[in-house]
Amino acid sequence: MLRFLRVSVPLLLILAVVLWLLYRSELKVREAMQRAAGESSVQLASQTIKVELGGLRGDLLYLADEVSLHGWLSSGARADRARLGADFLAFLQHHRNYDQVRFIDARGREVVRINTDGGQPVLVPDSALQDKSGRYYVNKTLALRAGQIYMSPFDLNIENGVLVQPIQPVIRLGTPIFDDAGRLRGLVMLSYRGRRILDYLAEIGSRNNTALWLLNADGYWLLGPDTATEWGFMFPERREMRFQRNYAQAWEAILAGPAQGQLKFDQVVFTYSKINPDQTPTWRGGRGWVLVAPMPRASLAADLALYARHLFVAYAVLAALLLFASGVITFKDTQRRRSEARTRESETRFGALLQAAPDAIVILDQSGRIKLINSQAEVGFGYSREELVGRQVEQLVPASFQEQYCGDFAGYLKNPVPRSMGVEAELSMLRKDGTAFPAEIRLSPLHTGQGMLIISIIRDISARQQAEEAQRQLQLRYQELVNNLPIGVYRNTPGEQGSFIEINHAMVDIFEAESVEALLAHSVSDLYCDPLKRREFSERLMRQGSTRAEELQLKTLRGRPFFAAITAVMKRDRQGEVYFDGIVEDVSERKESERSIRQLNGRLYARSVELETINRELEAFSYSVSHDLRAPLRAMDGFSLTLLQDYAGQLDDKGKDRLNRIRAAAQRMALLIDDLLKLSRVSRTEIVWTQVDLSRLAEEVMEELQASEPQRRVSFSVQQGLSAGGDARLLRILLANLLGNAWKFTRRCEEAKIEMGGNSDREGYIYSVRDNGAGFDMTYVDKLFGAFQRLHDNREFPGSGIGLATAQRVVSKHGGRIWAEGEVGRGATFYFTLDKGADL
Amino acid sequence: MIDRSILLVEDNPDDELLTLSALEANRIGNKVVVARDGAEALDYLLATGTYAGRDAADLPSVVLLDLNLPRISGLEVLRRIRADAVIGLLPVVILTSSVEDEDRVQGYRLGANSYVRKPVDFDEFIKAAGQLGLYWLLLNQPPPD
Repeated sequence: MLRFLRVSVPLLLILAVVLWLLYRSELKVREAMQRAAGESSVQLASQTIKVELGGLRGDLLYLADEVSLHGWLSSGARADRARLGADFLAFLQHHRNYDQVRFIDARGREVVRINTDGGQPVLVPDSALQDKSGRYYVNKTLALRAGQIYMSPFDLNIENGVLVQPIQPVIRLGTPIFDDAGRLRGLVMLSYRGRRILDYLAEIGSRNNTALWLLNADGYWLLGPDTATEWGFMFPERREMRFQRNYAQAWEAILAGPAQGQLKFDQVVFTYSKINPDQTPTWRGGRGWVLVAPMPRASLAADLALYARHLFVAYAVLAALLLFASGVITFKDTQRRRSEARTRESETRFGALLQAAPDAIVILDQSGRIKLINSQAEVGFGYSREELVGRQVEQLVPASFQEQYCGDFAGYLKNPVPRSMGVEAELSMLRKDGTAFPAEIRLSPLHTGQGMLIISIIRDISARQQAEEAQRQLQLRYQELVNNLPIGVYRNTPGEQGSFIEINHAMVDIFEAESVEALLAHSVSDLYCDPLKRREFSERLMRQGSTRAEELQLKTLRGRPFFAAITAVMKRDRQGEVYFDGIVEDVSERKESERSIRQLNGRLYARSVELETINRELEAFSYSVSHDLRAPLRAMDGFSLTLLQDYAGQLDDKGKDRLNRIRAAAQRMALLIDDLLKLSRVSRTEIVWTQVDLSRLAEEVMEELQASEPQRRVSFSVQQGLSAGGDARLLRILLANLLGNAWKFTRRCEEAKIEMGGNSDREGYIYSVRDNGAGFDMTYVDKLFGAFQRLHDNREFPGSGIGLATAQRVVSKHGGRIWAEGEVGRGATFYFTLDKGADL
Repeated sequence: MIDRSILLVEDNPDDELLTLSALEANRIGNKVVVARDGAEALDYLLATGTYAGRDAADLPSVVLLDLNLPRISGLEVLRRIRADAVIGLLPVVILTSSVEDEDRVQGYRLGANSYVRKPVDFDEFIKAAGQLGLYWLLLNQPPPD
């Protein structure tokens, strides 16, 4: 746009200036022409007037010399008068520019008169002749000398004192007539039809395209712009219609100026000429006339305006043409610039492309000389640009390939189209450091102004080859993995029949095939005991997308049926074709073991139901024992005591002893029953698992024992931080039994010591309760944890023999183990574990 | 107050005799009414059945209640006592051979005032009876009538 303006605006300005100058010169020419027209028309008009007036005089003098006139003057005969009349008539017939010709005698009486009536000259009869004596023109003429001419002012004809209408401008010319004797005899008077000269002037004006006015010396128009303003001095109402009234300044200048001239005013230019119709040498007003050609500037301006309009139209047309031309120029220019920019850009782009290309690019001429390389080539070959440009490309080819390369390159030049080099053979290129690398080379011709160049794009494919090798290895590994798997892996097609696409070796074994090929030859449905199931399976898999460990009855190629678990997924390849990937496992054995497990479970369930019944019975039994077994004992003890107290006198010592024995036995049995109940309660208790602080629990139990026998001194130590997951009440029973035992069996020790501790072992954490009491014989260690089993004398260490059985029950309920070590007289150590997994 | 009776609910005649002996040994002279099963005990307390016509307002100071009873069990007797508007606040001491947790829990849950186990050792039984008498007949303030 800017460029367009830069072109178009100066052109338009120049055009405007040119047209303006044209306008100016036209203005000047027009003014000059107008002036010239004014001058020439004024000149022509004044010449015409002179000639016409000259003619008038000639005519008059001719008439004055008329032979018949002088003949008549001499004779005074009627015949001569008639001849004179006939001559005058003839004259008027041939000179239509006159209205009238008369001979008036010296006394002022008309003698001969020819009028023009209806266009025809008519001899006026004597009776109609008038006496014109006293008329100013008669007197003036009669006062002249011979040959002198009186010329009346140019005015309008008045007949009998009345202005003839339509007006008749008239100039009367008279000359005195002397007879041969030199006596004044009268005068000849010619009335000139003034219209004629006015018509001439009007004709000249219109020919010159100017108005032409004729003024008399008083400034009255004889010929003016408008007939209504003419002849002002003849009409009382037009008295004021004078030139100077409208153009006072111009009139002054004309009166004061030379005989001819031009006056310029704002509105109008006057070209004038002062005329002396009576041939006086200088114009002094009076009878003089003034010819004026007024040239209104307005008409010039109108003309010029038209011209200017034409110029403007021309300007508009030319401007449009110029704008169009500018547009074309700008467009062409822009196109040229663009094309240049494109070329530059393309060059830049080519350079950038060359540098940005991921591959090494080497551009050669046809002789194999390196013209240009990119930075990838510098990096790839290890040379700098300066080292390579201008050298032969053979420098980059290993010696073993030189021959082949040269042949290929020469072959390429014969048919230079973009193509790869060495499609079959693997190419390699040489680096600066002497190492070679496998390469893929693509050649392409580049047509330049300096002839054809060869672009060779060199791709180092060593990484790709390595990647391909790695990919191949990876594939091999996966193939091996799949083939090594002991379960069948397959890929097959969906459908009623289905065919295998891939299978692993395990498939061959599972289906007892001779080889992979043998199995691939079968359709999938061949392997189903019921081929309809294959269809169902395929449809279900299509619907669900996958199945998991679906069990089906399949058969081997040898016809052996077996249970198989199939896990499969539906997939689509890139073409959208559906296929199934799956694994097959022979689960016949598992099915068999599941069946036996189910059987076992069934039995187990029956057993547990049975056990539950037994348990309930046992519970009822225990309850009954606790109530009903004790009542008789209470009776035995109670009534024995009653006997001892109430009937003491009737019993001897032996009797009393027996009663006391009954009582002791009853009480011991009550104790046994209580312990048995405790044991059964432990068995029946549901474990409530919490984290139990065993150290603290042991201390509490020891405090209770100490409180029951405050007089005893026992050294007790507990390892701190012993903790286990288990039932707090049961664990308290366990520790109460173990520590209670230790307490009991250290009764006879001088320095009783009880230790509670624990340490980690393979089996888990092992807790121990150690004492230095009576100990036991390891021979009987088996009996230690049996119910009612005792290793010591009841009198020495009384007890029910149920405590350790209870302890063992607690430990086993916790999933642990209890055992003991001991030696008679050296103490005993009880070890137990609790379920490691239950540790919270 | 000292004249008020004790209701002993006990089906075992041996235990009944022993209990009475033990009370006697402690010189507790209050009248002891014995009911031999749960139904009889309730009849007595509510003045119904065989005890219809008894002054229902004459209630014992304490009920010594065995649990293992024919017809209506001891715990059921306790439940009905507590459910009744008139005798609901009666002090009830469970006196039984059982030390089963379940029995204790149920006994207390149903509103037993005390749970005492009958010892086999009669010396202990006498001591227990003495303490029971001392406590429930003398020390304890019964609810207002």
